[in-house]
Amino acid sequence: MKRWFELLFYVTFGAGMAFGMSSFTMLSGLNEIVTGPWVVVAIVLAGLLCSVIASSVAELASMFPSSPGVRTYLKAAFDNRVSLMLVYLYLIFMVLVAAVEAYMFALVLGAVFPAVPAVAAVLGIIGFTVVVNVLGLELPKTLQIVTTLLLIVLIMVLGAVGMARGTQPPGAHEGWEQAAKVPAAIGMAVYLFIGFEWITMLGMRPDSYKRTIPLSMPLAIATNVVAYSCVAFGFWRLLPHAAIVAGTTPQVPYFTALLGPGGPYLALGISFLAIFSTFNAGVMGGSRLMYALSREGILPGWCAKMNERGAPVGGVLTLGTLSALAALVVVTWHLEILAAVIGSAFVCFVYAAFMLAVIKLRRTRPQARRSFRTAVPEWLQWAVAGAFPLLGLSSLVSQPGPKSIPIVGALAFTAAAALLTRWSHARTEKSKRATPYRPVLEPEA
Amino acid sequence: MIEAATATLEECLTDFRDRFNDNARVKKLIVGWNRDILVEPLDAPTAYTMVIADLELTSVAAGIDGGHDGQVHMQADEEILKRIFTGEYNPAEALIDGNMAVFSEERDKVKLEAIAMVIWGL
Repeated sequence: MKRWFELLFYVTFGAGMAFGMSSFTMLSGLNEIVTGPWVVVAIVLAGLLCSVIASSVAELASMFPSSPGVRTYLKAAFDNRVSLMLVYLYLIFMVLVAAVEAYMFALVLGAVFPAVPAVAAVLGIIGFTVVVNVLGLELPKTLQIVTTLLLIVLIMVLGAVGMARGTQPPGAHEGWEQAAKVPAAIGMAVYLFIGFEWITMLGMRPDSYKRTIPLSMPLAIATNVVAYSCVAFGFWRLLPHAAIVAGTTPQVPYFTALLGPGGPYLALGISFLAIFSTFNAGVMGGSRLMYALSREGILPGWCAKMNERGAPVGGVLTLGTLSALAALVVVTWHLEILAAVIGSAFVCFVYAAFMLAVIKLRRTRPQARRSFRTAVPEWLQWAVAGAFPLLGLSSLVSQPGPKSIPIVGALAFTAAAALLTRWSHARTEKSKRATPYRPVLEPEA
Repeated sequence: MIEAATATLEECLTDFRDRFNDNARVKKLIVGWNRDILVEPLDAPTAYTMVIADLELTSVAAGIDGGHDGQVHMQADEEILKRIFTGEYNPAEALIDGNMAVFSEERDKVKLEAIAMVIWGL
């Protein structure tokens, strides 16, 4: 495989994983906190912070190439229970995102085919993804690159056209008075980039972890910063603020304003492009993580069941079932923003843990093999690791309405993760199946 | 029964080849799956290439030529590789423990783990 093709694959994979249907939902949510150019400020700052995280993730990936990162990095650096807790929070995030993505797909489908019930659309898209994964089907790399490039370029062009054609006047309160709300908006905007770290599992060769993967993550983030900024500016110039925040699929009125009656069809086409990358790769990656956890003795054995095609059918079905149940709850009570914000807050904690893992492993395993070292100074790593949980918490209480609901929701999921952690830890201790981390890659290369 | 503690890596790989070729369920798993498996110990000089073609693991030979399509490149300490190829250590656990790296398509990693499960009943 040519180097440039490899880099392009990683960049488009990382950008595509992060760019889902729920990205538009979060852009609408961001407009609930700040408006106009401040949305773009929040997106850019969140992208910069995620690039700092990406640099630390790249160092961890160079220590443990191709491993299921969230479990391996945190297990190597922290106590087993801390690692398990964060892994469960990450899995909860994946289930919540799958539910939100499916619901957003259903809403866009409903804009084109109003007769299709949302529940049927949600169950249909999740069922389709499960079947694809059980059959072991996979998009060819070239097609994955083409679909993601098409998605990103379309979004940039449509954003630029919206900016050029828009005539909305600036709002009355879009000055510096909104600056104080930016931190909460950054916490929410982090959601727009989650998924870039999945690149680290895909390394094609050992030296991919020296330069190509460390470079591809910030490039993927930068690509999405430009795309999100274009469309956010487009929304601002073309749509009244009330129309942006009126629903969770602002792309539908936006494309309609741009293209007339054909707008919803374009929105649906873009949904399919987005779902190709985010949804399918997410279920596949999540099911592989569940499989690995089962092999470790952390999850029940049936989660590790494989079929004759070599697909991790136990993990796929478990994740698909949980996603379908979560989607039904989201559809019934319209909890899409709440689910996305809670998931984003959890990932803020996981990202902070990645930063701390780099700092800790540099002290406890200074001689360990690292083909890439982050250039981010340690004081900045500490600062970002401290800031991310605060950003996540601030985004939890940033939405209009009762603040207690997202807090109670996050606490409920955290309690569930804590119970699962306790159960899994007891399982591994009892069976003695958990293999302690053994630094066989310890000697300097 | 070969043991990781006493056998060489080449002996472990040769034994694995025999078990691989004698297993009917493995053949079902690898229909249309032709790959070069590169086995590279990080703390020993000799790496090996195993060739899977037409439902057979046809050869185990010293030397590797990495960086090509259709390859599965495994890197680990020699002791870890021996334990993996004698069924003492599940490759999925080795990956999650950070004790092994596999450079390949995601599906190929799953396929390898599936083969290990079938051969060793892990």
